[in-house]
Amino acid sequence: MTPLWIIVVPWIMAPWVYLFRRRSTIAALLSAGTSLAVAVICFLLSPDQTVWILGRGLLFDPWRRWLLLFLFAGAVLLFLYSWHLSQGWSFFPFLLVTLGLLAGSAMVDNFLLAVLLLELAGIILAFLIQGGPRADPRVAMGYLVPLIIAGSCLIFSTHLFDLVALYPEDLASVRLAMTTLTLGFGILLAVVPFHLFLPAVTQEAPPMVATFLLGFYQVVALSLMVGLLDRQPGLGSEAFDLLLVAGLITALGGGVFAFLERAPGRLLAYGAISDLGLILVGLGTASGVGVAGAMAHLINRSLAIALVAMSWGVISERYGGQRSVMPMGVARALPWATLGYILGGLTLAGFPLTGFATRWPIYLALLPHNPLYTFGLILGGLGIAWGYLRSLTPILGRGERPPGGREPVLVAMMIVALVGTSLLLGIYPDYLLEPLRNMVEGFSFVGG
Amino acid sequence: MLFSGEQLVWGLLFTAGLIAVVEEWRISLLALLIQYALVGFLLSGSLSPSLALAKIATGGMIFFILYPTAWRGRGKPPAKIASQERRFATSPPFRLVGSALIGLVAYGLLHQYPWEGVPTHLAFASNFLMAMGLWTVILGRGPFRMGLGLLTFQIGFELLFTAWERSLLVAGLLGLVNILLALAIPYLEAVGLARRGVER
Repeated sequence: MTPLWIIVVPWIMAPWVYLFRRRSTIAALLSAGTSLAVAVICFLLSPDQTVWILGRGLLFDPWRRWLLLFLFAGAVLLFLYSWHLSQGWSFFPFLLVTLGLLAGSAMVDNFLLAVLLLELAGIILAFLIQGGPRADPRVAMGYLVPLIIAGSCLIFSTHLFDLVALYPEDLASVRLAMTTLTLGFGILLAVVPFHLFLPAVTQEAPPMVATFLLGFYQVVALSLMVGLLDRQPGLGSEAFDLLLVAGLITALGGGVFAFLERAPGRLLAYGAISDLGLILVGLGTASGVGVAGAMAHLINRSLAIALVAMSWGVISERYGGQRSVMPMGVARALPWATLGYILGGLTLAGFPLTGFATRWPIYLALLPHNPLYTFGLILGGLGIAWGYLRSLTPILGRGERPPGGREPVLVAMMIVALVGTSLLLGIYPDYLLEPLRNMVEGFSFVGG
Repeated sequence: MLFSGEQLVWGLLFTAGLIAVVEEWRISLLALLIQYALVGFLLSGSLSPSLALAKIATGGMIFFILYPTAWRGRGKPPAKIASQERRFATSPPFRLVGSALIGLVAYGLLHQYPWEGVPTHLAFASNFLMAMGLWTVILGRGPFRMGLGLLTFQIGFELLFTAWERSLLVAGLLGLVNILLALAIPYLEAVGLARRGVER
């Protein structure tokens, strides 16, 4: 079997799913089944394969294998969740198309093509962000503008790096290449201060679309950056210093914004932004411990985002109210959703037994640089914790509860499963950290 | 060739200016179509004729994708927005002066960062289109106007990048980016129109 199926199968299934888009049971099961099948293909295929199409290589190595497995296994959860809680009529087929594009972007051995596929996937996500007539279309438009600018910057940088390779003494080209690359990834990953579009998107978009954007799309974008760092040793130590500084600013900035926020969607965005800063810091240390910690936290972060978004999605779907504030006193009616919201928030904030376990290696790797930096990261986490505490107050309160229903059984089961996985990772992080440590040793930029 | 490269560039500057300054949807959309045609002609010297023709065809497709929604939303903006606009500095003279300043910035950038291996007139047109595209996005108050700005930005970007990268696959993917973007714009504009209808 060829790795090409990983890209093609979702595209083949998308039109069929589109036909059944109004019948959520069929569409959800078809989509989830497709994702599961592709995840199984990823697991069964032997790594270290290259497929050639139109003269371009598609790589399937251990790193990409786990990335794609994570992507498609995660998508199964999103599809099953959307079975009972609608995320917009276009969610199932469009997400399948996006998954195929993201798989292509992750596998193609050419930075330019990878960026173009990522950009295409991002534009399709704009349809999903809109979701339906309820959301403000300016939000989706506000997402498209930075996406196109980021894509153009990254595409420019490919040419500029070609120039740098030809004329390494041309400092203007080096400077411009680094600037476009930084701008491109900075905007794409919503690094502070380029993050302004993201909170509005997560607040307005259906919860599973927000999860996909923060927890999966950004992961593929980040893997593209890691691949570039691996292939371009000429980027030098300045690139890692830049990552460290940008990560610190993002982690702290996200924490400060989260501290001031109460709206669940925006709070989720700031928490995710702050945690992404932490991951950038881990990569910036360029040490085995730091990079493995960053990768582990990337997985933990995605789980936490899914947990918070699923829980928030159930609460707002069942009890509605204002989208900016949680409804009053629903904890008793929706115990699993409340538990998921609390645990997801704690994981994003980096509390012991949850997110702290995957933060710890990054703190350790950062200590030799400057202990104050570690303090800054902890401060960012405290900001998120405070934000979640404030956001939780109405749910746990004893005010008059609006009329609503209970959690769908399947959704409650998924929340419980995610809570269990999160706790397991928090208590036994070595099950994740050890294999990741072995994997990142293969990166050319990873030191001792 | 019917027109020289410089004449085509002047045409591009004029159409980009029209999109930024004039709010009339028919003029803006026609200017966008002409822009794609001019880019096709401009690149026909360096690209294979079929690829240049494909760029013009992409422009034609985008025109027909955008036209129905633009026609649906042809009515005047709601009174609330219109009154805000009168007070706010987005009147045609402001747009015109702003566009002229953007042109100066694009010209200045040309001397600050001359693009390697790209003819000067082409580099200037590209800088100008990208800057005007962003300016139109900033001025735009809805998905349609903002979308026109984004497409103008993309045209400028492709003009420059095609001079460096002539791969058929890359050109095809860039065309696909344009078409998907053009599909997203009417979708978002239609939602905006529906919401406005509900609010009324």
